[in-house]
Amino acid sequence: MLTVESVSKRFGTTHAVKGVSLTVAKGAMVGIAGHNGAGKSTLLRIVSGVIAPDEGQIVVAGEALAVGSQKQARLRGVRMVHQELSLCPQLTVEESGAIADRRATGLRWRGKSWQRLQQVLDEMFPGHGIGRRQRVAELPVARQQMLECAIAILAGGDGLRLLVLDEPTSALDGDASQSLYEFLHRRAETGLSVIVTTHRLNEMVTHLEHVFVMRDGAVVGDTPCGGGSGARILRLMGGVEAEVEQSAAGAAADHGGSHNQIRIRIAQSYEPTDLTVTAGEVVGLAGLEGHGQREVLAAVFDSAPSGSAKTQYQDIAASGTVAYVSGDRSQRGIFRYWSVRDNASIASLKKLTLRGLLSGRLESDLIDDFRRSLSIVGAPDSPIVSLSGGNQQKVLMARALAADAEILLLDDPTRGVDQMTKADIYRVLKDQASKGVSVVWFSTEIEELQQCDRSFVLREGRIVDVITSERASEAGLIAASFEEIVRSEE
Amino acid sequence: MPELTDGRGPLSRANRGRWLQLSLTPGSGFLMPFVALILVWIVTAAIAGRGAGGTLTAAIEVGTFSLLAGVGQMFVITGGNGGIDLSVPNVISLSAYVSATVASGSNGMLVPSLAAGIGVGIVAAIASVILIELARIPPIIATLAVGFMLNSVVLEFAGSSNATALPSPGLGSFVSADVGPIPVFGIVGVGLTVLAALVLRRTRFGRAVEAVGQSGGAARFAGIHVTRTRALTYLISGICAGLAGVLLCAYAGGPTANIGDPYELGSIAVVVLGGCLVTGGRSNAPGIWAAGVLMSLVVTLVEVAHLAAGFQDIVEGLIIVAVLAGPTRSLTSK
Amino acid sequence: MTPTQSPPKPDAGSPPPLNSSGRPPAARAVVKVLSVPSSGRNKWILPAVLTIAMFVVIYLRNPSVLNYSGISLLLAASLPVCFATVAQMFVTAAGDLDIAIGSFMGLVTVITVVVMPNHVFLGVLALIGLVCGYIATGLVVLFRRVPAIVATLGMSFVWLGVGLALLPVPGGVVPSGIVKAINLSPPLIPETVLILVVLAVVVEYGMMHTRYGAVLRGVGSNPEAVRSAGWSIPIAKAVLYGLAGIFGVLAGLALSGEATSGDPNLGSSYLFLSIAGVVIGGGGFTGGDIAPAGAVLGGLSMSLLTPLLAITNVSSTYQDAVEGVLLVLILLVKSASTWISSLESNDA
Repeated sequence: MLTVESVSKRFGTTHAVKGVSLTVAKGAMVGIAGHNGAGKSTLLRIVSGVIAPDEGQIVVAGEALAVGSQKQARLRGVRMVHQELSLCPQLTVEESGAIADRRATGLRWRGKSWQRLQQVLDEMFPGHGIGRRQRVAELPVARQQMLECAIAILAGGDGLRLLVLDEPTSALDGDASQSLYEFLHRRAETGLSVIVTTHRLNEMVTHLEHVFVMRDGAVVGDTPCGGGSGARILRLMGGVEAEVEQSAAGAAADHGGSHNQIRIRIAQSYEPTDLTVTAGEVVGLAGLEGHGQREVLAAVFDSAPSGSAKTQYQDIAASGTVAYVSGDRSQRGIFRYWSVRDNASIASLKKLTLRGLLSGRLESDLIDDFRRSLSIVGAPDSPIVSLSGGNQQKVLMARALAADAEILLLDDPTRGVDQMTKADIYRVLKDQASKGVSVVWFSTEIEELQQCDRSFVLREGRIVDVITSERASEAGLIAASFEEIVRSEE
Repeated sequence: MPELTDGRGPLSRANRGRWLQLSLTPGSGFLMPFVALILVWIVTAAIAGRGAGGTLTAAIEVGTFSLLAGVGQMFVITGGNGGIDLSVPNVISLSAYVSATVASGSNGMLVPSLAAGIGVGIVAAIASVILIELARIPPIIATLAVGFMLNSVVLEFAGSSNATALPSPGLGSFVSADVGPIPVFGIVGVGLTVLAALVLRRTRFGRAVEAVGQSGGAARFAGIHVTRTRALTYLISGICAGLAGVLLCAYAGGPTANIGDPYELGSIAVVVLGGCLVTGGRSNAPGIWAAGVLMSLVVTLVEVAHLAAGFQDIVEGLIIVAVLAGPTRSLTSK
Repeated sequence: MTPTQSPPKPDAGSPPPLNSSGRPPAARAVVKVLSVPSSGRNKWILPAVLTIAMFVVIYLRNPSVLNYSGISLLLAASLPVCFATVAQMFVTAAGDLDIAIGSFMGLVTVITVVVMPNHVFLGVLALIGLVCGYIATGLVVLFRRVPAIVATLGMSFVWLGVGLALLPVPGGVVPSGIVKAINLSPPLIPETVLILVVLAVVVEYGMMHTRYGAVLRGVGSNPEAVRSAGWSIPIAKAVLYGLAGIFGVLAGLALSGEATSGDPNLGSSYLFLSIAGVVIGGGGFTGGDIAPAGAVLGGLSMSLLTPLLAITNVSSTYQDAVEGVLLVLILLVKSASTWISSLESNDA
């Protein structure tokens, strides 16, 4: 179905893709694994004609595609779901479908197209809850991602041969991901070929047939999925095999919960319950995504250094200075016109100011320290956007650490970063906790919650359970996230 | 980080050099306005065939008014979120009337008249900030509305034809004084430019302005007070425009209703020409200075070349498009 | 799909959460009414209410306006404003802002007095050339990635400069054909009313109810999405800027017909009127967020301001102040309505 023949692509000095060759059979579901910056997205964009390769060619159904012609790729039945959401926020759901649907013509262009889109959505994500006249901007991110997958199928129509999905499940919860893969399986049985990238290795191993592993722009190996393939993939990626180290729980014992940094009062439940986070403790915020974890983090942030703030169900008081690390790098993280140095120092300018003016030397010393201790790849003067996602995340980590805060808030900082960066971040957190910093960590990954001393499980904005690291198994978390009446009385 | 607090020694010579370098080279757009300035100057001098130095110093003197209005506009635009101050021309006109009325042509009232003019700017800025930050009205509309309201007051002043409304003569002679071949007001402009550059690159406030301009969300979670930072940029713009009004009135010898009109689009034009990002987050104070001087040189160029009045606007417009085609591309592309 | 379903109702035993469904039905109804203007399909309601209110005030002060000639007189100045507002709306649909519309209209009036009287054909060619200039501006914005506000700022100087070069001193005589064309007297319904209704219906249908209209709004909203759906971004951008140019020319012609002479600076107030009209009409600046019929109504209400002030004996000195206050009030209602509808959606 698809043959990629020694494709290469350079961006300036970066060799993003180096001589990649691979074949995807008709009806096959393959994955491409690799760290951030390994060239996965670039390869997928070349396959779907969005960018032109410098060398090599793409062959679809026996015919070579003209170099970098998205239109021709489309006509041959190649569709791509992009990593960044690519819908028009101002259009309604039905309009978004219709402009991508070649068959949406005539006076009833919206109605006809919506019928087909609804059919795909219902089949793909049963109970999706997306209405035809809703504006895309009003949909939660997860539903936007669902809509985007459905529109790719709709737009492909009967001629769809190859579906290319770049991180399609990054905003979806487990259930939705599951039904997406089931849908893809059904389509694969009728001859659709699928290429997927995802940072969730489990998904690949469970749902795909074959995984190609990329490293530094080249395919360094491939493996059929099955027992033990996860470890093989990790090894090929050059990741740290045993990235799940011991939990940071030991560190908290030294501080013995002597000093309460954050007090959370769960109001509006049957009887108000108090939760506290002590100095040196690492507390996870668990539960399904979008159930109020970010609101809790924001409330802690707003209530510091000594005040209180409310979420819908919780009153939160924090004492101590606070720093925030966002996993949403482009919206809440980086300052994109600035250098690495300016990005790292912005939260700690007070201590860099001498006689009313910022000291360039102190600022340089600061960033040099963190480039060493976090092994950031990128010169202090380089624009932040020239760094890979993982290194950008490390700079954001450095920004928070430089603020010398007593409370560190993490908003899913390992989203979309490679295993090596994750390991670095885990190490730093452990280190901070041992220094007496309280860490509140929102994570969507079970392994990360296992690293926390305790996790607060949120459901519909309310903290419904507190679980210890030993109980932070997938089954335990899912039970807590779904159970109808759970209160924090253990 | 104990090693950071250790180093509270005096700034070494090398470090002084470094902040200058940093403050003057914020981006690739920096040089363009200076290149354009020198080109236009050479062409003007070549056509006129004499007085190249005088042409430039005169342009530097007049360009300082554009600089004053433009620096305030730059802070607002750099603060992002669609920030723009369309009330600048009306603040200038009203400040001219109010300060002239207070001064009544006497040197004794110089300080009160300056304060009154700046006060006009502050009042306008407070009104804009209330509309923008509390009522959540887009800045372009809020400042437009405030400008409309001020304009009605200007028309009241203009209609009442108060003959004693004259600027302090001392201020007038200061604005047009020369030290040897160099205009005093030009030196003021250079000083203002250096000050603005220092504030933007080397103070917490300046960094905060650029930060909120790039990403309000990221700035908030970096511990920056976003609303307060943006509000202060409007205050700076109001103060600059108010001051420009007083000085312009002194320079012109009296207020007129449309004294601020050229700065309506002019203040935005110098920000654009100066290599700042119109979408916010990236500023360039020296560029504003160069752009202000450039705009006045273009007027001279059209005069010495005996072109029709319209050509001044055509040249300015083409320069804006031409100067921008280069640097903005590298700044806005990812 | 548990997380995407609506949250369960609070338990009967627990105290009701603060801003939730404990509100009495009457209050809910008020909230519902107040939240109407902010929702996508009802953006025209607010400007419609405003326009009608202005009509009512004028009518109460002077009942004689409610006839053929009265309405014609009242709406005499509305065509240039409404056309300019619609032109501005097309540019805002692309996610841009057009700073040049005022000086562009001024230049059109100059062409009608300098070129049109002697060389009609040449004049028409010049106007077509101006529309092409608009398209070119749009393509420069697209390909050179210059912010539109900058490119149109530059062009506003160019249009003004060309106008001044052609006609240094205001004056000249607009061809009688143009003056006659905007002063026709069709039976029963005044010409202006006809034009405005047709204008509103055509742009509303074209932009909101056709597939290519959705594509055009999509280009301003997220061009990448439109590109990957298989549409040409340059063509869509050119269409939007071309339509802005065409309506800018129409606005300029209407202005010359009304003023009967040319002046490069004649259009200077229309930049702000057109922006105000778009905003009052319910449009936004985020790209693709437009309300075409609302824009026509918004322009109409701006043009009614002058007769309204005249008839209520307010000095024309205060016209600017009233425009400013009106602009603020409308936006306050809009913000309040958005806020209320967000409360409403929290309730649901």
